[in-house]
Amino acid sequence: MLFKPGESCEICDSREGVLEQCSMCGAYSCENCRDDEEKICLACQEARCSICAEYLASRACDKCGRLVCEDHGAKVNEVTVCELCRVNET
Amino acid sequence: MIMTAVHLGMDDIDSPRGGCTTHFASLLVEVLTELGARWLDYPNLIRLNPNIPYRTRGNGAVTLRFKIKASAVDKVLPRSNLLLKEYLKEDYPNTNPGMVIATGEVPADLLDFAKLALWRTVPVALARRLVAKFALPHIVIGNGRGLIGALSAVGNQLRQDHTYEYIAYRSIALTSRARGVDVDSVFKMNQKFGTRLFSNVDITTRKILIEPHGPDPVIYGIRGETPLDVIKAAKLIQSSQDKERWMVFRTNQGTGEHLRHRVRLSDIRPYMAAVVEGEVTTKSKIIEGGHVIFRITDDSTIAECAVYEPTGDFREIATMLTEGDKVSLDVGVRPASRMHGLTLNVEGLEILQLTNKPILANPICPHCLKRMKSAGKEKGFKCIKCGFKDPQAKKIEIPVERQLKVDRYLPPPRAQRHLTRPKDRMDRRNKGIPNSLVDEWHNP
Repeated sequence: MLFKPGESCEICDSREGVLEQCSMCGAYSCENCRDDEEKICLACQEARCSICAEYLASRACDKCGRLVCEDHGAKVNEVTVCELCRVNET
Repeated sequence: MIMTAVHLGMDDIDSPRGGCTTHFASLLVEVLTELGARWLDYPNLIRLNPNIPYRTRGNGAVTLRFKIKASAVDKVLPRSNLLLKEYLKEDYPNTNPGMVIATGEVPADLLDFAKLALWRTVPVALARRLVAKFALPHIVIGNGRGLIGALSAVGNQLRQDHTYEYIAYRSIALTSRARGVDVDSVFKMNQKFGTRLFSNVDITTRKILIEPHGPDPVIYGIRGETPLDVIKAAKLIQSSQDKERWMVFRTNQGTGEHLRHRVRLSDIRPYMAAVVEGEVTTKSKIIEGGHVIFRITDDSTIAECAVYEPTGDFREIATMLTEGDKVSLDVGVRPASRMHGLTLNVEGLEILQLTNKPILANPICPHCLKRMKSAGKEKGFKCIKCGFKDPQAKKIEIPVERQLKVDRYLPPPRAQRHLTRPKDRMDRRNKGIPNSLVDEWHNP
């Protein structure tokens, strides 16, 4: 099946209202599925790095559960430790 | 007696420190059987989008489908909640369990939700909206992410292709000790059952894939085509730890269910599981860590693709790709960071067309059969051995013999996703919901 964005909300599939593109991921979303103030979709709002909020998370910290981007969470010996837990440890 | 069909979905009842949603489900089956549940299906183990960063291990959720006296329906969730509270490891903040109940026919909105959760990221807000719309009784702990998997598991009824997994569990008290699964017994089982089982061993490295490595209660899981196959196969496995319980799950593992969407490169979104098609624009290169990077383009944009070092021979295939090759890739999309843009992590590769672009070389001297040298711009070529000159000579084309062929390639079993359709299952489909269950599909 070919993915055709822009025809409906990529999150809830609604075809009503104005669809806008998320500034983080590019997905088209309806007003129920985006944060108009931040101009991002709800999926990105929940998946952002919880330290910088500039990038989407690539992993979750194995100690505290925070979602972190590659800059703020390092994987060492298969264990992800976020920047905040690392600083607290040292 | 009026009986009601109940679909009880659950997710995120685990953590990297122990516990497991399927183990919890096996305990719950015992509790609900005592409550009078008559089972409509094997417990469904539904793997969701494997590219989600907040998953624990395999991103698997479970649904129990049964009929129960209408008067007992209201007791299902409170009993489940009681067991959940006993089970949870509350010291781990990243466990956000969710449970949800749907009765009767599963609403169409949940089927759509389940399809979305296989290949995209789904916000908790959408899950909460659905729960409110259909007034579905539910339990949410933490940030509510478990609700996403719980709803998806209810919505995915495995009406298309499906497989089975037999999971053996040990006592929770023994989860810090080695499981001691006997390697020889696993290979003997694999040989005896042939293609009726899949993804249980990695032949090349002689590694067994049925034994997890974390501190969870699973001793081993055997994947196969029918419930009887996996139950019989399990009888051949030897391990140093005793089985405390076991259960058979019907699953979407090995079905490739997450790769149903073809996506143009310009429409790629972070975390997507998708199939993309394009032409290789740069010869692949190996970077630090042994990973292979190359770029492809379609008519919309260019994207960077990565094949990781642990994929072994599959990585070697990627190193042989060159400019002009046409490929179809199964990918998981890694989000951009400060260091790189969106990256397509390749988990399957189909070569559609190999370029036959020849190499240009200097002509051969007709007298001494050595390769000649250029005599200067537009002056033809000369032989430095015998002095022969040919002002009309031009570079010759030498056809390149490619070591690759037009075919589909996958990483070895040890590097495949739970959802990856393995080579043995390429032409196999198990269709439909079973009419009846085998006599003994769990114990106790």
